[in-house]
Amino acid sequence: MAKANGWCGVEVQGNSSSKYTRTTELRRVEDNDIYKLATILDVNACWRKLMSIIPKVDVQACSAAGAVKVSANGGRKYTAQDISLIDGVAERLPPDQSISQVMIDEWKTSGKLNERPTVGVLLQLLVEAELYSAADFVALNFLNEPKPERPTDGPAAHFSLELGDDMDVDT
Amino acid sequence: NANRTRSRSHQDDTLLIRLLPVSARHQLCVHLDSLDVWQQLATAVKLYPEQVEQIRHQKDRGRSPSNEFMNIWGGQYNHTVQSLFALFKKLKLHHAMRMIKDYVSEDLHKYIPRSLPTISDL
Repeated sequence: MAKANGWCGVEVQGNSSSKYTRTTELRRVEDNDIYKLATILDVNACWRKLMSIIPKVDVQACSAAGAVKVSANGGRKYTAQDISLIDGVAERLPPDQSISQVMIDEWKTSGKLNERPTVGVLLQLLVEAELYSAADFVALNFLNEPKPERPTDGPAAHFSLELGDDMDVDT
Repeated sequence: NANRTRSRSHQDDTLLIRLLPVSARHQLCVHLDSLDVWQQLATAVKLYPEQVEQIRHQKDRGRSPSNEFMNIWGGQYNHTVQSLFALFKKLKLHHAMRMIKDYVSEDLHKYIPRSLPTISDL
């Protein structure tokens, strides 16, 4: 099964019941699916975290395989100024529209063939940025894949009931 | 990132915090804010310093710190109400556990300590 955090060259697994594949370009994703994703990213300004880690695509990038290799120098596509430009748009948006959708619309149309972002790249970046509401949504609803695994520590880690506490159990 | 260990697959498909009914979430936040426990919650789930600052910033502006905690832990990290229940249990926030018991599996209700009778019950 393809892993959510695969690098360049990750195997692309076709899934006949999924709406999209990892190689589907974001600009081919239906608007209302982007909107549902965008409303999730609107919470806690997650769109800013995503926008800030989108990498500059280097010549070795292979979005054709549904993944992207972050260039060694860590070059980012968008600057703080770009982010505040989108912020400025947010102030003038009607209430039923999503700022994250504005950001995604900008991102999905940028770049030439083989440089444009795909669903696979999106998922990879969401996991990297720990935007798990969005990542879980993309995995389940776009790709019909299981939710990406969580790290074992930190705020993203699963929090489960510890058995053997000294608390009395009421039956 | 390559060194980050992954947890085994987790079988919790229960209700997400971010999908709790607005009224339930609101009541919960009012209660948690009255106890001023947001810092304990943040510490227990290991929020990053900038996230703790984010909550403090909202509190300083008169907004609910518990609600901001939910925005981060529920809204970004997509945790479940069952995880919240476990968090409340760990911090011994028994009334909060009671407030969300209808949103977790019944076999977890045994973890809620019986509340002490009030004078009027006796």
